[in-house]
Amino acid sequence: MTDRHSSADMRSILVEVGLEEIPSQYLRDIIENFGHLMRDELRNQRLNVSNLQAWATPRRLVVRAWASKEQEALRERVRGPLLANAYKDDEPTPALLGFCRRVGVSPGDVTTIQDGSKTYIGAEIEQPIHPLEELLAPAVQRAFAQIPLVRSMRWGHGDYRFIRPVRWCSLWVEETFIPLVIAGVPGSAETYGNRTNHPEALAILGTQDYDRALDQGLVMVDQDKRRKVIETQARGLARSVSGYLDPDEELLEEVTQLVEWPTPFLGRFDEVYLEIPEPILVTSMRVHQRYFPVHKTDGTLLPYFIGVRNGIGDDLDMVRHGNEKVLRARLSDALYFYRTDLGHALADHRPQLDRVIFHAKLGTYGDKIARIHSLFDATRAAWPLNETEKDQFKLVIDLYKADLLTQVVQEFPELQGVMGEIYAQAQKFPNAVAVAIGEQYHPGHQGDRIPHSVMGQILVLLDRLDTVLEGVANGLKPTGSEDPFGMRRSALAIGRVLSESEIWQEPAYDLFMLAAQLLNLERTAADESYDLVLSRLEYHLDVTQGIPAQKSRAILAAPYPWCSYPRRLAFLDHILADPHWEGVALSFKRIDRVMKGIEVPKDPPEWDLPVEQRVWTVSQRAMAHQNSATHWWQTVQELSTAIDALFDAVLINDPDPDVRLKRGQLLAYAQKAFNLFFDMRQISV
Amino acid sequence: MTLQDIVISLKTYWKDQGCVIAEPYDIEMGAGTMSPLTFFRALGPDPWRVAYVQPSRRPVDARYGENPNRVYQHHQFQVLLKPAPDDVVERYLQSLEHLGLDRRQHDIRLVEDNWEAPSLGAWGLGWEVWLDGMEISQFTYFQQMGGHECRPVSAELTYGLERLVSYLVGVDEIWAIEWAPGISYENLFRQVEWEQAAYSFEHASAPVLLQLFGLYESEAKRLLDLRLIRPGYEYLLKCSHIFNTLDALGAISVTERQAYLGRMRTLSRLAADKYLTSESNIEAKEGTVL
Repeated sequence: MTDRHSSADMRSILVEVGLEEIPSQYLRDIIENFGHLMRDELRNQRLNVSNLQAWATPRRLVVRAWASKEQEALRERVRGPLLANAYKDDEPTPALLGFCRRVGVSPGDVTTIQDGSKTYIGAEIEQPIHPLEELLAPAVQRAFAQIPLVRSMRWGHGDYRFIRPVRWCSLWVEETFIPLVIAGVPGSAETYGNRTNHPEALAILGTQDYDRALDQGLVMVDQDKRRKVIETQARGLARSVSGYLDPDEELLEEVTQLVEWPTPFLGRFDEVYLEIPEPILVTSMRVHQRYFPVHKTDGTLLPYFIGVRNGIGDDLDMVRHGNEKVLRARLSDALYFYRTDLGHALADHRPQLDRVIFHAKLGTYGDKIARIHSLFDATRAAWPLNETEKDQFKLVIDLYKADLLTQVVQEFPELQGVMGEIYAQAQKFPNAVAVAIGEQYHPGHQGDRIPHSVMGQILVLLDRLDTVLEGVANGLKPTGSEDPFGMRRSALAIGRVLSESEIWQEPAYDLFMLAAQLLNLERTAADESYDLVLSRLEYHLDVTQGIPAQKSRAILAAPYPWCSYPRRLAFLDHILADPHWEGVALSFKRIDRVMKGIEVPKDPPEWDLPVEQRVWTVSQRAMAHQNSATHWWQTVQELSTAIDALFDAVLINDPDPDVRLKRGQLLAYAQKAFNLFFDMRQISV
Repeated sequence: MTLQDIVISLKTYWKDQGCVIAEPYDIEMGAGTMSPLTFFRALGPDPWRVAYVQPSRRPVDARYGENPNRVYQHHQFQVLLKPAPDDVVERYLQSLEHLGLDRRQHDIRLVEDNWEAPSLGAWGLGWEVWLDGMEISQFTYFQQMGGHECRPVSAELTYGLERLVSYLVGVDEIWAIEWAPGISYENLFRQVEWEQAAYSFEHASAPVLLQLFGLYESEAKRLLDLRLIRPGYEYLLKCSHIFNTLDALGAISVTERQAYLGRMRTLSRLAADKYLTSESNIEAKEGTVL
C-alpha cells in the first residue's frame, strides 16, 4: 500500500438514510457506529477512506468521506498440487495444468511453496480489481445492518428492524447515484427537508450538491454545529435578561438531537412561581419541558426559560406563547401541591406510612421504619455521633419516608428525599436532620456520590442493609439480568458507604451478622447478603478504579473494616512490588495445596523437630503484628523461609496419622498468619 | 371553534383516509387502546382502519374539578391504521393542518415515548407529539398485543382532545372549552368531576372493590374458557377499571401492583389466544362480522 494518494484516485462518497425521529439519547452512538462500520467495511474491500464524517439529525444518518476509486492491487500466493505430482518426465501433469487454468497463470510462471516437509507448486496471482461504484452499496448495506441497537422495532408489513422506521435512502459517488436498498427501502436521488419548513422531496444532484439541498430544506446536519448554535444563542438570550445558564451538557445534547434546525427562544413565567422551591422549578423546566432555566449571578432563578424549537417560523410569538402556557399549567400545579404540602407537618404523614406497602414480602414503610429503629438502637454505641445527634437521628428514621405522601413527590417522584429535606427545613428541624433526609437516595445513578453527612451515611447504610437482608431472606436476590427490586444498587450503596466513609470501624461481616440477628433472619441471609455486597463493590472498584477483582477481594475479605481499604490497597501494592513477594506467594501456595480444613489447635503441641518449632514461633510473631503491616510483612518473609525449610525436611502427609494431624495444625496456623491482612489465596494463585 | 367541531373535523379527515368511524365502547376504560376495536383488531393479519372517540377514565388523575388541565375522565380521539402506512407521520401532521393549524407557525416535535400496557401484555415504540411544548398526541407502532407479536404492525394515533382543543382555541383551562355553542366543558363536567373525585379518593370501598376484582376476574376466565371472547374481555375491562380505582384509593402498593397487573395480563393473553383461534375471527377475515 502506498501512503499517499493523489486526489485523482479518490472520489467523494455520501450516504443518507432517512428515518422517522430517532430517540435523542441513542442518536450519537448510532451515527458514530455507522461511520466506523462504514470505514471498516470499505477498508475490508481494499478501499482507502479519508476525511470520513458521520452526521445525524433525528431524521437522517449521513456519512460522507473520500474513498479510492477502485480497490488496491493485491498479489496473492496460492498453493497448487504437490511438486511431486506436478511433472512427469519434465512435462506438466494434468494436475498442474488444471491449477494453472484455474488461477490464470502459464505453467512456466509457477514457483514452489514449502510447507513443513512437503513442497507444493505455488503461483503469484493478481486479485481482480473492482471499482468503488460496484463495492459501495453492499458495504453500506452491511455497515447499516451491523449498527448495534438497544431496542429495535418492526414497522408496516416487513420484518426489517431498526430503532425507528427507515423511510428513504440515497447513495452517491460524486455525481453518480448508486442504487441500494436499506431495510427494504430502495434508494432514490432525493432527500427531504425538515418536517415543518420543507416536508416535500428535494432533488440531490451529487455529493457536492447535498449541502445545497439541505440548506434549502432547512436542515443543519452537523450535530456539533447545531449544538454550537444552540449554546451560543441560548447564552445570548440569557444575557439579554442579565442572566446566565448553568452548564448542562446532558440537556444541551438532548435538545441538539431533538431538532433538525434549532431556533432557541426566550420565554417567561410569572414571578409568583418563584415561591416554588428551585428543584421543582428546575425539574419542571429541564426534565419535563427540555427548557434551560435562567439563573441570576447569585445563582437563584430568574422567571425566564430558554426553549429550542425545530425549524424557522415567521415569528416566534406563537411558539413562545404556547410554551409559556404549558409551563404555566405545570407550575400552577406545582405551586398548588407545594402550598398544600406546607400545610402539613411531615409527622402528619407518619401514620399513613403504616398502610403504604414497601414490598409485599417486606411489609409496609411503617414496618421498615420500625426495623431501622431496632437496628440503630442495637448498634447505637458504634456510631460517631454524640448523644444529642443520636436522638436527632431517631427523628430522621421516623420522618425520612414521610415525603412519599406529599403531593409534590406524588407528582415528581424523582424529588423524593429532596422534598423531605425542604419540608424538614420549613418545619425548622435541626439542619443535620433535614440534610440526612435529603441525602437518603445517594448514591443513585452510577458515578453518584455517597452522602456527605454522617447521619446521611448511617441512614443509607441501615436502610439498604434492611432492604438487602430482608430481600435476600425473602427470595428477591437478583439472578442474571433480572433484578426487579434493585437489589444490586442497594448492595453497592452498602459497600460504598462502608468503604468510603469512616462510620463503621469493625469488620463489615460483623455488621451483616449482627443485623441478621436483630432482624431474626437465618445466618445464610447474612452470608448471601455479604457476598452480594462484596461482589458489587468489587465490580464497582474494577469499573471505576481499574482494580482487579482478586486484588480487591484479597483486601475486603480479610477481617478488617472496609474503611481501611485505601491504606491496605497501598500496602498491598507495596508488597506485590517487593522482590520477596514471589517467594512468599510460593510458600503460601505450598501450604494452600495441602490444607484440607484443619483447625488451628487451641494449645500448641510439643514440636518434635526444630523446623516445626520455627514455623510455629515465627507464625506467632507474625500474628502479634496486627497493628503494624510493615512488621508483619517482614515476619511473613521469615515465615516463608521457615515453611520452605519445613517442606524440604519432612513429609507433611506423614504415614502416622498423629504426626499428619499435628503438621496440618502447624500449617493451619501459618496460613492464618499469612492471611492476617489479606486473603492471600486471591492474589497468590 | 367548538370541541364538537374539532371532533367532526377529525372524523371527516380520517374517514377520508379510509377509516371506519366507530362509536365509543360502552364499558369504562382507561384508554382507547383497550377498546376491542383496537385490542383485537391489532391482532392477526387483516388490514384495518378505524377512528373513534373514547372517553377515558383515570381515577388517579381526578382533581375535584379544581385543576386547570387534569381530570378523572378525558376524551381520546383514537386512530388505528393497520398496517401502518409508510407516510403515517405525514398523514398525522396533515390532520393537524386539516384542523387549521399551520405547521410553519408552530414547533412540532416527536419526542421518544415508548408505550407499554402491562395489563394488556402489550408494548410498542413511538413518540409523544409536542405542539409548542404541549403533548397533544401519542404515536405508537404496536409490537405486541395480548402477548402476541403484531404482524403486520399497526400505527396507533391518540389525540388528547381536551389538550388539543384548549390549545387550538387558546384557552388556559379546559373548563373554558366550548363543547357546543353556549355549552362549556365546565357546564358538562365540572360537577361530574367533583363527584367522581370524591368517589375515587374518599368513598370508594376498597373491600368491595377487591371482592369485585376477584369476581370479575373469575368471570372473565370462565367466559374466555367457554370461548365467549367479548363477554370475557369485557370482564377484564371491568377488572382494569376497578384496579385503577383501588390505585387512586392508595389501596395497592407498588409491589402488589405487579401481582394485579400480572393477573390482568394473564386474562388479556387468554383473550388474545382465543380470538386468534376463534371461529368469529375466521368470519371476520371473510368480512361478515365488524
